[in-house]
Amino acid sequence: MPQIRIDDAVKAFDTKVAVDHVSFEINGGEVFGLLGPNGAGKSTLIRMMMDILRPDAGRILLNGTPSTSADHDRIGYLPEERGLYRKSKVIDVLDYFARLKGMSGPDVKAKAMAALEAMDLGEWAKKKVEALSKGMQQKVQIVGTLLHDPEIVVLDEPFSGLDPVNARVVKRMIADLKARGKLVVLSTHQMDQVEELCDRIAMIDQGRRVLYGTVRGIKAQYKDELRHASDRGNFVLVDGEGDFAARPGVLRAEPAGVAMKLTLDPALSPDRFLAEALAAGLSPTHFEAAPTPLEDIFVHVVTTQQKVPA
Amino acid sequence: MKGKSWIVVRREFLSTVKRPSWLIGTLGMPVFVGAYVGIAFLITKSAAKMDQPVGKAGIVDHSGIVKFEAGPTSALSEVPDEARAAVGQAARMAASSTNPASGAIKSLLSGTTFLPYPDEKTALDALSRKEIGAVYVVPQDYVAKGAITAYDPSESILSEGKLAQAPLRRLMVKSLMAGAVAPEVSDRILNPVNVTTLTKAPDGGWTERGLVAMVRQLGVPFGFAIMLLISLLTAAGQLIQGVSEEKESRVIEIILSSIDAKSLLLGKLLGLGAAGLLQLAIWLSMAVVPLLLLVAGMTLSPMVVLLCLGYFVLGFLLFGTLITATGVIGTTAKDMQQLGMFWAIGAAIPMWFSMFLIKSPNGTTARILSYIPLTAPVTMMMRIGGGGVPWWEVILTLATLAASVLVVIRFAARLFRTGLLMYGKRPTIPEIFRWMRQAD
Repeated sequence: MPQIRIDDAVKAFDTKVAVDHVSFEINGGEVFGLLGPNGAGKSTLIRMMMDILRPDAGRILLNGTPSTSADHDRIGYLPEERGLYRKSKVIDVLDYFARLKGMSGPDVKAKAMAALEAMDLGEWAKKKVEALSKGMQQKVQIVGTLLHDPEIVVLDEPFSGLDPVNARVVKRMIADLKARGKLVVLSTHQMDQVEELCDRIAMIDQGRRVLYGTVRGIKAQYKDELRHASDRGNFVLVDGEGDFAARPGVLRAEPAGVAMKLTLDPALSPDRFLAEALAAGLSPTHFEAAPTPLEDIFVHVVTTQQKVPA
Repeated sequence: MKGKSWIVVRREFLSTVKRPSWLIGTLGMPVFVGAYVGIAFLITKSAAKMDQPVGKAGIVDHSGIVKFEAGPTSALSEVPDEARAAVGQAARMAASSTNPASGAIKSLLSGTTFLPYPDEKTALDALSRKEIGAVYVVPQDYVAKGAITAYDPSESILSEGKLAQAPLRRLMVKSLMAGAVAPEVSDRILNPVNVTTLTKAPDGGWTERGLVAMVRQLGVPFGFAIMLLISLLTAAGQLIQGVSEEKESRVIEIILSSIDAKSLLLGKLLGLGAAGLLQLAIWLSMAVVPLLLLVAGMTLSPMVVLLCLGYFVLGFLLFGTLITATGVIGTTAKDMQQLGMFWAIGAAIPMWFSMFLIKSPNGTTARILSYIPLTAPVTMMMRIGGGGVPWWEVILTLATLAASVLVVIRFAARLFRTGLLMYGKRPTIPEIFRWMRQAD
C-alpha cells in the first residue's frame, strides 16, 4: 500500500511563506481531504507532493524514501486549473499524457478509447478538445489522470464545474479507487463532499496545518469549543407543527431541506429545548440534535487563526 | 527519465509539421518565390522586347576629337578576369533563353560598337530603324564643357543607352589622350591598379585569394549563418508560442507532474529544431541549392558543410534554450516573445563584424568572437568559409560551445520549471537568481 509522508515541509515564494513547517501522513486505501481557504498553501503542498516544486526545507517521503522524478509515473494528478491542448484531438491528448506517464506500446490509444467510452465520451474521441463542453473536458481530464492506473491519485477540486450527474460519477470513481487500495488525496472547498468522502483530513491555513485527524475525531474535538463560542450554540434540526423558531433560546433559524436548522443559546441543551417545546404544545415530526458541521469548524478555525497572526 | 524527452520530441515535431500554417509556409514559400520571380521575369521580358540591345550606338561628333575604333569598345577591362569569367559563365547559361538580361550581359561583355554619323537627322533615322540602340551627340565645345547629349528611346535599366555609357566614357578618355600620351600609358591610365591579394594560408605561406573564389568559399557558411538566424527566429517563436499556450491553458501542471523540466525543455528544443531543419531542408532543396550550384558555381566541401551543421545544431540548442528560459518568465505570449528575442540580437552580432571576419578570418576580433558562446556559431561558420582556421581552434570552440549548452540547459531548466508555474506576476531579478540556485 502506498504511503505519503510530508515531513516538516517549508516552501517560501519571495517573501511569502506558502507552506510553513507542515507534517502529515496519508496512507493507501484512504481518502484524505486537504482543506483550507484560497491561498492557504494547498496547491503548493500538492505541487511538492507531485515533485513539481521542491520544498525549501523538510522532506516529502513516498513509501519512506524521498520522492524523485522516477515516482512521477505512480501518481495521477488532476490539477485545480484544468488544462488540455485545445487544438488537439481528445484521443491524441490522452495518448500524450499517458505516454508521459510511462505507458507505451501500440494499445495506449485503445485503452484511452475504452476509458472514454466508460465516461460516455467515445464519440468525442476524434473531436478537438475545444469542441467539447466544459463538463466533458472535465471528464476527459479525469480520464487522463487515471489512464495509467496510478497508485496515488491527487484530485485538486475535482467537483468544480461538474453538474450533479457527473459529480456522482466522480464520487463513485473515488469510492472505487479507495476500494482498490489506492491513495486518494482530495483537495476541496466543499465541506459536504469532505464529510461524505474523506476518512481523514488536514486543514491548512496561512501555510500551517491547523487541523489534522479523522473527520469524526475533529468534529468531537470542536463540538464543545464551538458550543461555548459566543456566537455559536447547539444545533438542532426540527420539523413539525408549530413555530419552533419563535421559542425562547433560539438564536437563529434557517431552512435545511424540509426541516429547519435552529441555533440554540449555548446554555440551552437540545434535550431541554425539546422538552420545553413539547410542554408548550408543539408537535415535532422530526427532531435531531445536529452534529457540528465541518463547515462551521472550518470557518471557526480560519477566523480565529486570523485573529492571532502567526 | 531521458526516454520521456523522446515522447516530447515526437509530439512537438508532429504537432508542428501537421499544423496547416507550417505546411502552407513550408511548401508555399518556394511556390511564392517562384511565382514572384516568374512574374518579374515576364514583366521585364515584355518590357524589354522592343528595346533588345543591339550592341551598337551612333555618335554625331561636332567636336572632331572622337577616335572611332574598328571593333566594339568594352568597359570590362577594368574588372578582374575572374569576375569577367563568372559573368561570362552566367551569360552562356542564360544565352539559350530569350532572357532580355542575357542580351544585356552579352553586350556588357562584348562592349558597344560606336558608329559615326554626320548629323543628328541621319543618326536619329538610323535609331528609329533600330540599326543602333542609342545616339550620342558630342558638341563643338565638348573639351571645354564635357557635355554630351544622349538619345535613348528606352527607359529600361538595361537599355543600349545605359549600357553604352561606360564604353563611351572609355572611348572619350582614349580619344582625349590620343597623341598626347603614349598608348601604353593611356592603357595604364584607364586601368591603373590591378590588385592581387595574398593572404596567409594554413601552412603559413601566402596564397592568392580572388574575389570570386572568396564569394564561392563564403557562400555556404554565410548561407548557414543566415539559416541559423532565420530558423532560430522561427523555431524559437514557435517554441515560445507552444510554451505560452501550455502555460496559459495550465496543461503545464500535468506535463510537469509527468516529466522533469530539463527533459521537457530538451524534448521541445529537439522536436521544434527538427521541424525547423526539415523546413529549411525543403526550402533549400526546392530552390536555393540548385540555384547556388548552377549559377555561382559554388563549391560545397563536405567538411565545411559538416562543421557548419555542427555549429548550427549547437547554436540552435544554445539560443533555443536561452530564448525559452527567458521567455518563460513573461506572463503573456507577447511578453514572452519580447523577452526571448533579446537573445536573437546576440546571434546577429557577428554579422555586424562580417567585414572584419571576411578580411581577416584569423584576426583578433574573429578569435574573440569565436570563444564567446553567443557569437561563436555564426562567427565560426564565417571563419571556416574564409579558410585557414587551425583545427585546434575548431575543436576548442566546439567544445566551449557544447559545454556552455550543457550549463545553460541546466540553469534554464530551473528557471523554466519555476517560471512555468508563475502566473500573472513577473519575478524580480533576485527571485530569478534564487530559482537558478535551486537544486534540480
